Amino acid sequence: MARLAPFQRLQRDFAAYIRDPENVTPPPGIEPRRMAIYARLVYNNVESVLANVFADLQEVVGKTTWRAVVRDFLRRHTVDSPYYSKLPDEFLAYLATREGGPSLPPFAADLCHYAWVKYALPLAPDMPDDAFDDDPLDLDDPVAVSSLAWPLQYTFPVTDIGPDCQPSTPPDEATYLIAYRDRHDEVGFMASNALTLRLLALVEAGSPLARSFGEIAAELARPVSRVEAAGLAIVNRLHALDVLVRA
Amino acid sequence: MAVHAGHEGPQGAGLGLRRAFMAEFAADDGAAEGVDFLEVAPENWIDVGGRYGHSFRALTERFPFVCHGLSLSLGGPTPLDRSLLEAIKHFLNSHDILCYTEHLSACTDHGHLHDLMPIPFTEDAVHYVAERVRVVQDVLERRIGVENVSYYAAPGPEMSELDFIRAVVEEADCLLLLDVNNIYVNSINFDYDPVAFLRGMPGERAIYAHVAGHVREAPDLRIDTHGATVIDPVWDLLDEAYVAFGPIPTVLERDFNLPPLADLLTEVGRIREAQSSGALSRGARGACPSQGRTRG
Repeated sequence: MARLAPFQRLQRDFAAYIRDPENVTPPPGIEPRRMAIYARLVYNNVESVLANVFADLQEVVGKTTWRAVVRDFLRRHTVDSPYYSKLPDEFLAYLATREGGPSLPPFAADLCHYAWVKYALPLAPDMPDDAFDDDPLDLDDPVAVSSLAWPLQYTFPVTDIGPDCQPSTPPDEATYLIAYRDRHDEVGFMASNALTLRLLALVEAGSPLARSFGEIAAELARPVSRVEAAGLAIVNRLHALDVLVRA
Repeated sequence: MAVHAGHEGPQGAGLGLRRAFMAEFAADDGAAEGVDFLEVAPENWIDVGGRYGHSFRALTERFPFVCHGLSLSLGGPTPLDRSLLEAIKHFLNSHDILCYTEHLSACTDHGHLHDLMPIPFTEDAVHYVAERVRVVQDVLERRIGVENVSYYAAPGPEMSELDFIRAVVEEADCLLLLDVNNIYVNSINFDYDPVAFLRGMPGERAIYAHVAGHVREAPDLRIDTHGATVIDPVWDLLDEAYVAFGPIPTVLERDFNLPPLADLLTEVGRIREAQSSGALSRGARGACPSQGRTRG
């Protein structure tokens, strides 16, 4: 950052206190009661959207840990997005990159990501009106994954986690899901599997269907013809759900 | 130079639009007839798709809208966020928004804190903020209004709040969003005469006004929550504003503890009544100053 003007140094100290009122000295010459109002307003505003979106995490870790985590987020995370509604995204980034801080269960990042999907998908920017159609897809048709279909892979069983299910180690099998918003803005979640997500990853990377099936067949050491037949059925189920669209 | 703010902005009495009221506004059953225009924070609607996005689009096609920004951080230390500014510009144009206003405050240090922090009232800060407002106006290709914010602490002031506000709007040649509730809140928090303050504001630049409720934290401290009914002293101050500056278009802000929409529409109706009587008393004063509304 460029050299700060004197008034900006005042602002920096002002904000530093707000971020961490327990450890930072309040700016001189200002009544502590008044600084405390700022600290409280900022904390409450940030906490309210996070508590709303990550209610499941709050429930499993309890109020005390939750408050410590929100405070740690405020203290240490630099929020780049100007959008208040993106604070949950920023919280995920904090969880992914934080070192130290209040202890959280090993499934916290997975659980929060899943909660974020439920929050963010209904609000995500629309697909173009003409993106969806009902004609069956064939092997040669160019396809794409809808920007409103989000393949999800979690180490922990996010759909089961709650106060009575708090695994300390991940199960052998990952949890595969596809979250999608269809042309009527209905949001759905479907259980999926590694193979389907591999196909979606290939499609997202720009690979045509035929080549994607060929690659999967090679990976599985199966005949291409069988993978194509099974794969095309899956593709059309996903197309009917508006997960895959004609490119 | 006379600044004719009026024709650039909205007319009449408006309401801050909350998502909770979208369905009622969308119903188009006459319930929202009493609202002349609606106000939203662009940051809350930029790139929002799905059902909310569609409802919002339907409303901007039906109602006049104004935008009141949250995150530009006109007084903040980091460079202006050009990508946000471009997004706002696109949003204003694509929804045919009448005007755009921001807060005379900072909401960032090195990152976003999503609340309004005071700008120290200094000469350097005046130049700094005015230059940023000018850049924003250049990018948006329109003048913007800046709002006098509520505050609870004044770090390192070297001039009065009023001088600061006046200097910024003059140097930036921008418009004013006259927040009447904030004047009242600050007058308690910093023990000054709200009417004298109001009359010292550059009201001729006011593109519209805000009125809102607040909470009483302590006898000498009010917090601008937008979470309560507007209190009588604030209504009185709004009357004073209309007498001083004419019936400025005015938005009722209500963001928390939302009552039924009908209650808010009653308050919006009260704005309209005040605008009519304010216009009358101002007209009377103009015609015959001795019969004008007494000041103070």
